[in-house]
Amino acid sequence: MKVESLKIIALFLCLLFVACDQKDINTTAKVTVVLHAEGIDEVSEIELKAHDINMNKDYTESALVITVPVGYFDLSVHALGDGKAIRAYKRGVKVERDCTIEMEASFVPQGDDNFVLAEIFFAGTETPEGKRYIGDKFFVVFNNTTDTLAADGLILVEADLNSVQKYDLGDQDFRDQYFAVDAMYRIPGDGQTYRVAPGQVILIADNAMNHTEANANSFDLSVADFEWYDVSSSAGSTDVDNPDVTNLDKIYCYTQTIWVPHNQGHKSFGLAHVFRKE
Amino acid sequence: MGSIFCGLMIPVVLLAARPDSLRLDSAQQALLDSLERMFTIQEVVVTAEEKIERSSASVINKEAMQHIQPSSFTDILQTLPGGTTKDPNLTSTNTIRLREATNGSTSGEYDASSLGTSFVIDGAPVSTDANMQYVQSDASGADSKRSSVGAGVDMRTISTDDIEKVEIIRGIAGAEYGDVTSGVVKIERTSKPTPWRARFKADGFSKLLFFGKGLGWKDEQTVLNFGLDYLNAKADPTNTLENYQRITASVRLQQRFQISNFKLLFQSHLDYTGSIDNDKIDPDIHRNREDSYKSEYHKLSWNNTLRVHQADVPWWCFCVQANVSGELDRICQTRFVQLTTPKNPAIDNMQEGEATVSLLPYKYVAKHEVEGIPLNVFVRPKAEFFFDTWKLEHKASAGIEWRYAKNFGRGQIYDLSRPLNYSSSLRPRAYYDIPASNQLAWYIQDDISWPIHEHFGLDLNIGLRGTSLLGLGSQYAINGKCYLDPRANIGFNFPFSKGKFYVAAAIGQHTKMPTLLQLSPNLLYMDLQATDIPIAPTDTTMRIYTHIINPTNYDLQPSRNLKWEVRVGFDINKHKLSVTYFEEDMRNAFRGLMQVEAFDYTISENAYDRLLTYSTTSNGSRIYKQGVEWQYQSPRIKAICTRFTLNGAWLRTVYSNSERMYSTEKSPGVVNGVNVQDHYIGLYNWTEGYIRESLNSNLVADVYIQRIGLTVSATLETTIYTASKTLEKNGVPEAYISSKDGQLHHYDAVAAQDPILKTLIFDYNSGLFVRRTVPFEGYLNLRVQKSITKFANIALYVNRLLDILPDYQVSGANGSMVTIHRTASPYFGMEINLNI
Repeated sequence: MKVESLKIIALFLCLLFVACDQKDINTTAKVTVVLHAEGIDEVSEIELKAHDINMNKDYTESALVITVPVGYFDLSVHALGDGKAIRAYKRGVKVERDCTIEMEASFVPQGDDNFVLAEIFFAGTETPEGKRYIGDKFFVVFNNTTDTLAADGLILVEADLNSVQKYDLGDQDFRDQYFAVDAMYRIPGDGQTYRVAPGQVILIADNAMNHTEANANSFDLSVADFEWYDVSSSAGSTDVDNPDVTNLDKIYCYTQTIWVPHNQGHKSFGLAHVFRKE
Repeated sequence: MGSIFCGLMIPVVLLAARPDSLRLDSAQQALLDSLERMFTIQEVVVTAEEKIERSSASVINKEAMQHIQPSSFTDILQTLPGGTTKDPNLTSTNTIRLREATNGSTSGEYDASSLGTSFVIDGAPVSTDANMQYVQSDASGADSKRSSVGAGVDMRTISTDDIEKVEIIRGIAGAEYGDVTSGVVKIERTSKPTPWRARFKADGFSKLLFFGKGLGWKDEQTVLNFGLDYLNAKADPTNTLENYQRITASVRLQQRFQISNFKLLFQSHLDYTGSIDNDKIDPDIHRNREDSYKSEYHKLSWNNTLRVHQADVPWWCFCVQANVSGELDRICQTRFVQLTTPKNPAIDNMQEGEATVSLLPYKYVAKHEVEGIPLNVFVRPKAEFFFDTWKLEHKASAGIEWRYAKNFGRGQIYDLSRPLNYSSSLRPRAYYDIPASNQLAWYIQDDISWPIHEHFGLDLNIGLRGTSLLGLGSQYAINGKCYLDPRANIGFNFPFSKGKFYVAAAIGQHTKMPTLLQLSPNLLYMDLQATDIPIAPTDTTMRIYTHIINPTNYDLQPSRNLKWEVRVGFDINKHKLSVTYFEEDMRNAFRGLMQVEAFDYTISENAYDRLLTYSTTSNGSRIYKQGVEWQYQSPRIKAICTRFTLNGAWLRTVYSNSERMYSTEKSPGVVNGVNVQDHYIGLYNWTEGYIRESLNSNLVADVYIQRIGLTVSATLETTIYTASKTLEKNGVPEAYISSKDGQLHHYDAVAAQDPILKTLIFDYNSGLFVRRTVPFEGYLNLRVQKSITKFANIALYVNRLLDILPDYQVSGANGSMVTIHRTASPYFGMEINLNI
């Protein structure tokens, strides 16, 4: 062999000794949760769950410390604070090494003696020609309890203040105590007329009619349980009243014509907490 | 040296006299030609010139117009003091606003200012009183920016290639100009033999083509000029579906002849203008292929003037002018309509009372046409007298004017059961039912010149004009009443060896009569519910009650503007300076104001009462203009062939209402179960409006080198600041109207405590009334014209070649400061001119 080819072989042999430096890669990490629960003295019955987003696996621990493999997680804490249920959530937590995560706990609405608004359809629908149709707005009220409840007297309200506007009310700010409304429609009845079984819904529509004639992309709301009807002062914008569907009692509304929830959802809605338990 | 000087003297004398029979040898001819050229170099002006006599006026001659390279008449306004360069916007209507702050109003409530500017083309005013081309009931569609109803002349329709000279009288026009409140634009078109001219211009958004020629026979006893012009403009060069086209054709004949010892000059001009706006939806992008808009104006105008004077009797001259102009206007709009709520009535009843109407289908294609056929006639005989009394020279003139305007079109044409806008409750009305407008006016004026002393002279121009509107019927307060407009100009000039100083003042009253549509508006149809039985989903008809209101304001007065101004200036060694301070106050400008009517009706034997609101033309606007204008022009400095012109203006304009107003601006809706607006409306004695202010100055340096046929001008356009401020509004009403009795009640302390009536007090955040200022902006514009051979020249212009736009701060939310950063982009255009 020639000296040059020997050098080349020696060079290639050197490559065998060249290798990647094995860095210390963590495979698991310890996550410590610091739970901030304002106004709560005692936190008990803690259940900490970490959901691995990429692997779709769950890890559970009954303490505020958990060891998980490295990755991206959604964290949730279910606990009892002073005897009442509290929750804390954090999404998209990147876990590469041991870390401490701060989470804020808040009370869970008890949901065991209430109707809830399950769906607020405010947007209207688009017609096949790309135009807008707004006659088919509705609300779905859901019985979120394990008892049969009477819907009589339940009031659907719309907030007066606009959700996307900043209000500087100064020392007249009432929002921590009161909810200002500009529309109130009440389900009629004597207290036992409209009974809703657990897990059942009430459909309240603006116009309880078959909207597919006006807009093929809309739906048939003639099966609604209730509808709201406004007497309009203008002939150009009139409300429709389906005689087969019960009308809500109109307590108050700001408009002189017909009430249509805001197209872009700039208003909040609520249910006035009037109910009777069976 | 002396012989050269003598040599120069002789041709100078020859130049002055120049009888046709003088014969010169070639050397003398060459010397004469070069001297002529030298004298005319000084005369080439490429900016607007300030006229010294009479009231403040700007004169723009043909060279200046060619240098501006305009697409339409709007571009010429940038040479006025206070004018700023704006990119041509040819897909919206262009209305003129003289002496208004550059950031001035665009609200329709102050259109009286542009309505009151009179365009006079070859002595005949252009009347827009019979213009009713607008799509009723579609306030924000494609038509709203293209309609100029009640706003005067749309300057896009005036092409500039046939114009020889423009004089814009910004100040007090002479008594011979009538039906004017703001100013007069006098356009004189070319009436002399010219070579074959062609012009092709292209810029960012448009292309223009022009041909013209002037022919002369028998030594200019007969002159025939004709011109043809075509313009095609787009709002966005990539979108050919929204465009504007203009075609103008003009034939002008001028004939001089002599009958015994009377010399006559007869002019007859025939003009055609076609103006077409198109706006269609791109069928490939949008799903509604049916949507389209097209607005066409075709106008034919025939203008005749006859001027007579006696050959050896120079003290009088008689002139009669007659102009007939007819238009065929059509707007055609199609739209695909989808109902947004289930049941809407197809309101097609035209009678007062109850009616059963069918319901609209959920979707349909609406077709709407507007046909207008205005006819305008103008006849004016006038006489001019030239005489001397003692040392005063008089140029007196008197005349009578008759203007007739009528629209023979069918108006809004559409199927009432398939309307373009189903939430509007307007109905069609034939335009030929509107009575014609007959305006009769007379004027006398005298132009007196009194050279009192070698160094002191006086010029006085006084005039009186009377205008009346006839034939309207006695229920109109304006019918037959004569409105007098006195106008006066006085000027003192102090000539001396090098030039002269002058001081001048002018004051005048101006009157503009209302347009046809303002005098006879459409009837209004208020459609109300007629039953308290609600509509069920299966219903196909609806019962409504229609109440008809006649919104005609029989007390409508003409809008009148009192203007005055003071000027000082000098003209020394061809340095010309002129500074003017002016004020104009028009307190009864036309504007739509809300009216309220209480209405009682019954539904199923229940009595109801409510207030109905509608808008009617009234004299409720105030436009107050104030400002200082200056113009300085230097002679052309021979060494650098450059002339400097500095002009500018400080303009302050106050726009507001001048009458108490009803308002439902902040109506609270329902209070205590009562629809407040249906029962109580407040009458507010407030000032609603704004102030606009601007200070700007333009410095133009133009270089004219005749040897190489090059003209270059650089303009440094600076706006030192613009400011605007909303006028403070006091939201406490002075009175309120109640639907129970239909009467006005005084709004006192008791009313202010009532839970319903106190909602009539409107609250305004004080931040609304803060004065906002936009600081300095400066631009450099460049224009270049170069002649290629004797027959052709090309020209180029760049607007905003350089810009100086410093950042500035405004206060934002929560007291923070927000930095505003401005940018500008240049605008180019090029053209080629042929003269064969």
